[in-house]
Amino acid sequence: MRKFIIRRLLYGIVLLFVSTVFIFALSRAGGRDPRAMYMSENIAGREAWEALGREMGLHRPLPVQYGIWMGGVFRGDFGTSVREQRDAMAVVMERLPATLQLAVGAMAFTVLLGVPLGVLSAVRRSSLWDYSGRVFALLGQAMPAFWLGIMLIIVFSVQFDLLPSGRRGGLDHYILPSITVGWFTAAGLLRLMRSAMLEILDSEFVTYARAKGVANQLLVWKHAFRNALIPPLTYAGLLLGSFLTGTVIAERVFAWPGIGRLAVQAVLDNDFPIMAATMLIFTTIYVGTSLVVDLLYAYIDPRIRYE
Amino acid sequence: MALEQAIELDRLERRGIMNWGAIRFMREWPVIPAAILVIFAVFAIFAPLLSPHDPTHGQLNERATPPAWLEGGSTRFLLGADALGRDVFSRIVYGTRVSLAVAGIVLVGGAIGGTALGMISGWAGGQVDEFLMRVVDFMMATPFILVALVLVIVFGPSVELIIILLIVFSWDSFSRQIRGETLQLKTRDYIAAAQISGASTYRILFKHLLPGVVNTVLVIMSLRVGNLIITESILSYLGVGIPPPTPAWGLMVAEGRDYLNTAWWISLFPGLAILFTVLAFNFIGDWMRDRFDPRLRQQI
Repeated sequence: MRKFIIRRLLYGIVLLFVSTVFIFALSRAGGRDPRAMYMSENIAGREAWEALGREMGLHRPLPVQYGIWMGGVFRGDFGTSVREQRDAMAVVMERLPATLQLAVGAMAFTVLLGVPLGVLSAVRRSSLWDYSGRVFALLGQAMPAFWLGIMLIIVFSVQFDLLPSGRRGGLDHYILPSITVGWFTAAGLLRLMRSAMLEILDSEFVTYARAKGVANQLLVWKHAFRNALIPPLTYAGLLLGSFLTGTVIAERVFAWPGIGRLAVQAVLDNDFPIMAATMLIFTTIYVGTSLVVDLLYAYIDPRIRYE
Repeated sequence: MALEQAIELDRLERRGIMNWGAIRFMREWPVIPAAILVIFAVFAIFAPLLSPHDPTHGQLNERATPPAWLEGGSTRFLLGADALGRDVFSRIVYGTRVSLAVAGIVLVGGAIGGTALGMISGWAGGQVDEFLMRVVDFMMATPFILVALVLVIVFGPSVELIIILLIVFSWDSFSRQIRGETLQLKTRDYIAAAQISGASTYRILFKHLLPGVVNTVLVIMSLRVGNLIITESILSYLGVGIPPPTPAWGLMVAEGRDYLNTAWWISLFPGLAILFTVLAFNFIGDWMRDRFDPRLRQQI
């Protein structure tokens, strides 16, 4: 077990290292001069251009430049945002809570809808619940999130004027964006929950409990449900990764002031410090959650091999 | 994972109405999804004949004309006109070409690359295998949309770049699965027999292993199309996919974003086109898997 944890940790670190190299390479890709983000040689003049080059260490070899940049990254110093003219990390940190809150909202939607509907679909097979669950899942896997968000705005904000169409605010501001990010994942969780429940309900120990005369409610919730939870739990853990993509899209649709929208804006503005900071945060979250899920999984289900 | 067992159970439970001739036939064969795909295929092939207007040039005095059945709409613009006076229906018809062509090219590219890597990985084993599988892991850990955004900005938006990016990021599901299959096939007697009779590695891979995995490749391809179409539309929506004014469905949805209050049809219809295409492909993918490679049900 210890060996497994160490291996997994090392692997996570290597992944992060590779992604920093990748991000750094992007800033120098296509023969671009990183100085061009801050000034134009023609306008600022030769002298200022050279001075900025020395300040940024551009006369040194690339690996050294990478080393200098990484040194900054370790201290949380990604440089100055081109657009906002202040510390990139500070800009990103200001926006991070909005994204995390949206992810929590999406998670709530996913779990509150996916788990009960999945259990109901399995317990009342071929019932109305089952069919509506299936339609929900099919749609969730075929609708592009950005379009879903726009349709929700058209129906609930424009036509019926029930819910706000964007920006942060009270609880009602979270409803539409959370559904937009969470529908796809809720569909997956529902299918997983349903099939796990079906499998358990068909198993011998449940038949035995039924034969013994255990009440149906107790049978479903105590005997079956608790045993069916492992696969959906793992899935739910991994969701954070897919929420990242979801928030990038939903934040753009709903004008949500999070890091997803910040990242897209930074790319469009060619604001490398912000771009690097957001990408590294995204990768760290992804690597971190998959690490935790792997460890949890091995802990919950000892049949997992540790090699 | 036993994701799909539920469907199998349902199949055993068919009773009553659901078992009657026509309905039974429709449950056995994916008739409706196939019909939808045929319609879109016809759209793509005969786009110039079917579309009543030029998809890229609008008439500004006709802008935001509502769909034909609404007040103020005219039959000249069946599904309405967009903010630049371009016919939404014509743009959807031409958009079919973009979506299907991109999906088709990427699928073939991803399948060939992924299968090759999977077979090499499974066949060679050891360090090569370890390295290739780590690369696959890394690809899966990379936030694709963001990487695509950055690369498109660096190299400028173009259809070729989008296709290459999508291909690079669609290997993983192929190579993982094919590697597993190769590992199994490798231990079979007929492979050993081929080796003993002096067949070259090249010959074994192409003549003896490839036919054994081709079924799986086709099934994975059919399961991946829907996802691919959605990913392409996301990139186009974010403005880094197919460059305007080419009519791509994702781009069309994005163009309607500013007119939600007044002209909802600009966003609605191209999204419906995506929805129906992806639904149809997903149905057919599930059906193909159940029919040609039921073992995959446990794994994907």
